[in-house]
Amino acid sequence: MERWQELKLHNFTGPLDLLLYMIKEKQLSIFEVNLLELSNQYLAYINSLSQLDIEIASEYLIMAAYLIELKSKLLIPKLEVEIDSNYEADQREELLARLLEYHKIKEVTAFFKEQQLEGLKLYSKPKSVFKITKIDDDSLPLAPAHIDIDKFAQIFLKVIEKNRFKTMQTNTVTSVEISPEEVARDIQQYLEEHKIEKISLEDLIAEKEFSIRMLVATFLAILDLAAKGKIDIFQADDHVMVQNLLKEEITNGI
Amino acid sequence: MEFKKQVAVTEGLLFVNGDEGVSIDDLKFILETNDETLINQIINTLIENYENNEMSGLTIQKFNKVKFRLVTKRENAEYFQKLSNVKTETRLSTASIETVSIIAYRGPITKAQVEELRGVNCDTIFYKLKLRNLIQEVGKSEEVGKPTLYNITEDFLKYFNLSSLDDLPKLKEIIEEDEKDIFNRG
Repeated sequence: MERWQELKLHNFTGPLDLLLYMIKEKQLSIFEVNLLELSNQYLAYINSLSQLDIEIASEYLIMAAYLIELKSKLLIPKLEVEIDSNYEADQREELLARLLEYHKIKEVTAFFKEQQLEGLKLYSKPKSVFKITKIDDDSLPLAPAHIDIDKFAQIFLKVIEKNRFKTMQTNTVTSVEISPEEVARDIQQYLEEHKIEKISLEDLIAEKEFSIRMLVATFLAILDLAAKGKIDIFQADDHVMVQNLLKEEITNGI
Repeated sequence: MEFKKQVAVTEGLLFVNGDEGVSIDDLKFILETNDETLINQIINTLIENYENNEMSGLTIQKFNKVKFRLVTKRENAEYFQKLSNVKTETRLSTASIETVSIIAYRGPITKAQVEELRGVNCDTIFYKLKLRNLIQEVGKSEEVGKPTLYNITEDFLKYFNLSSLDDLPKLKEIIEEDEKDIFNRG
């Protein structure tokens, strides 16, 4: 009993674990358990814990309450509880059944622990995702872009380079949010208002007040408009051109 | 397809599908055969090749009876653990193992039934086991309130290196009558 005081509740996985431990300590078969003695020891142990972590202890206390009830039944002289003997037997049976069931599971946990260690020694790789599968041009949702994507990127770099001086001078913090949706609307509006059919990407960007945010938003807006089929981007000589696909509809008054 | 070719294709499939593994059905479809014996022959050939070849670091793990996956040999695990890309997986706590083993033996089972068996609240443990995909919800019980039923997953079998639930040790089911008497004397 003295040694039990050195044990902490969190060394056990639950009140049944503690009960089983007590039975094993006495080297008893689970069938030979003296319930009265077991109750006493369990209660004594719970009482001896001066610092009960309520979070952990609550379940043990429920078990303690259960054992107290059981113990009280066992302590009442037999004659007086004759009418209630079934109840007493039931309760014992119930505790026995729970302990047995728990004991069975407890006996196989070692197996699982061992298997766990084995399993953790096996390494495998994640499922491969095919990167080389070529999708038919026809099945692509977008019309094929008639541009060299590097060229497309170069233009943006060129614009940044051209405006480098401007950005270096700018040290005010702007917190204006620019959404690609807004920019896309602006671009469409610009194309429509100026009745422009084709414009080079550089010119289009030059129309915008320069900032890195604006550049990124413009980049996304152009890709988005192209994806939605509202504009087409294609390459002409050294320029990337933006063609307004809605031009015709505009002139038709739509 | 020649047998050798089928073995080679199967090995490639095991590599490509990695973690997820390849099922007998996958193999039937890809190798265009209905011959399950042939498929088992192919798999066993691969397993033997790996096991007999000391210069190979791979082997095949069987799980869920009809699934296979390519894994490294366990005896080399310590070497891989030297790699920086090894994310050490925390082992399951004793309480978690207790809980998941109850589900393995008694599933489909509700959380309340597991709690009754263990005598403790299992909320957090269930949450963690679900997070690790070792258990899954499999339906509703007919009991009052229709509580959720849980069972173990395929990942459970992989994790504990079990080819199927048949590999679990048998629980001692029968209580001897005379042993019961001894208890009642207590």
